[in-house]
Amino acid sequence: MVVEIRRALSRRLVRVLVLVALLGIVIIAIGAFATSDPDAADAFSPADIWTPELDQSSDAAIVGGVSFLFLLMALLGGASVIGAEYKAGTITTLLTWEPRRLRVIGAKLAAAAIVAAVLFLVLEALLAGALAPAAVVRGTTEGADDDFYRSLAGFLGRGALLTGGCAVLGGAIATVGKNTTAALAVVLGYIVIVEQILRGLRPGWNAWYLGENLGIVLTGERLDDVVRSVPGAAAVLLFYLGVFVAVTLVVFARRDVT
Amino acid sequence: MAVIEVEGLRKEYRRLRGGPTLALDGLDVSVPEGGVFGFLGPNGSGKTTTIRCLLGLVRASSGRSRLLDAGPRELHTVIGRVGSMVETPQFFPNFSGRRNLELLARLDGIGRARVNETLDLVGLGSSAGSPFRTYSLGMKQRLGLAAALIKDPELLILDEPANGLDPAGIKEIRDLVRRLGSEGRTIFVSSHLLGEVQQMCDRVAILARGRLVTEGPVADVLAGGRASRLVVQVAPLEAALETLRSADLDATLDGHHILVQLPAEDAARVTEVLADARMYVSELRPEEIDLETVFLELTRSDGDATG
Ligand SMILES: Nc1ncnc2c1ncn2[C@@H]1O[C@H](COP(=O)(O)OP(=O)(O)OP(=O)(O)O)[C@@H](O)[C@H]1O
Ligand SMILES: [Mg+2]
Repeated sequence: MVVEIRRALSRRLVRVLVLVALLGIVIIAIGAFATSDPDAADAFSPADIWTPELDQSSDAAIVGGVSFLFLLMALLGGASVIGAEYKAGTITTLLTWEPRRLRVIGAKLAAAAIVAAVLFLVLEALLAGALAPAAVVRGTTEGADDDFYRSLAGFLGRGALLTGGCAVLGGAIATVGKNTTAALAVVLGYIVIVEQILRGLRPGWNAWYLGENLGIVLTGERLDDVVRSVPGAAAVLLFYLGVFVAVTLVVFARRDVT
Repeated sequence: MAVIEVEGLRKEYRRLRGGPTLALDGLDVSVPEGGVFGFLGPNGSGKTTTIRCLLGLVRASSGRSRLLDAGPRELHTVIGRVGSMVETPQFFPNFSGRRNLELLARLDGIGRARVNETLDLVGLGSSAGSPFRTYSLGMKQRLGLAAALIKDPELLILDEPANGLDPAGIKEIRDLVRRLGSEGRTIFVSSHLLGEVQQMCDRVAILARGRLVTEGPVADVLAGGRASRLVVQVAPLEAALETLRSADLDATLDGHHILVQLPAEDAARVTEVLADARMYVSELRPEEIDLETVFLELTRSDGDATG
């Protein structure tokens, strides 16, 4: 497991993703710093950063969008942990060292989840740090009260869980598809196309869609027309992930590695 | 105890398109402990498939396979004692040979010193720092061999280790395998290079179309169920042939010499018969049978039998 974590961290794609994220943070911070006007009513404030309600001010939308990007990155990074083994063909060698396949995949998925969740927290902390000057110098620090910190902690916790989950999902799809990019294509294709079509045909099922449940957990707030609480949505996501991982493990355990 | 035991192993590869491929059709092999065991067969005969089944990479359709007395489900209990190399081994292209080896070694808690030692053993010491993608086929093969050897295993399973090596490399590997075999380890080595097996192995199993054709010590397989013959060079040929036949010897004309069905110990009889007729042999030697002849005969006749 420790080996797997170190391996994941040394992966080039993971490093590139982290670099891209860091770059994004710098750009966002500079953007916030440059555009915020301390005297205006919508001056940059802590609330803007950490209340990522998708339908509110543009600053909050940035954070929501950033978190969504983090999720995609986790998906891709998680997928690469397994996809790279298939791409290089090293899965054969690996299995001749550890023939217990559930352990092999389990360790990889767990490592992907841990690395993704920790990176999420680190990157969000950096984002907060980078945005702080904008709030302090050219915005307002008003609203940074206990409530703010509580919701911040909640957001970080939920976000870390979601990124970990996305990494596991990516790894699982890559295991079935023997490919890294397949994971991204499948998930985006599903959310953007399949669920969109389903939504049109069966709007009543919206409590069961991935997109809605992800939104609820990420924002930590109920959506207007969806009958699902935050823990409820988290349970639904966890259930989906559990079923999918179980299927993956069965497929991988039975597969001929040639 | 047999180190490798395979009984009635059948493997059918199923594909999404096209029919299934029968790779193994009731294979039986038993590899005793110690020495070098050659696993010989033409392309597509199922050598790699057998090795994959043994290592649990592929699930057999039916039959039994045991490695160090462990079935496919208990493999993890013995895998630490088994080093293996299946086809041309793959590693991460952007990592160096050493780095790749270290990643594997760490899984078993093997240290850096042993990694370097093994790299030197396979002659990769100087290029161990270059990325794997820059390796030639022979270097890749050597790294694979290093990965198989690094555990200091009691059983080594090598799938065509000489593949892609130059003549010097082939000899090096042969010597290495022989040495490892004489240290009390068991080496199971597949090949379609007959000369290799002949020089390197103590025992050999020959398979064709997923079945065992013959198995035994190399010398026995070479003699393989036929009487040995003597090659006789003498002039004039026709008269000598008549003389030998009239002396009740089974002699046939074969190009520019005569073949006599007799074991080498009885060669004197040929000289005697011919000398009595005032004919003197210019050459008399046992016919050399090499594995190639046996191999081609065996694999061909098997083909005729199965259509
Ligand atoms: N993944 C696969 N899917 C379908 N058929 C396969 C697969 N792998 C091997 N086969 C088939 O199984 C048979 C045996 O192949 P195998 O690789 O075991 O032969 P081999 O003896 O190792 O040959 P070679 O000397 O060329 O390495 C062949 O007919 C081959 O086409
Ligand atoms: Mg082969």
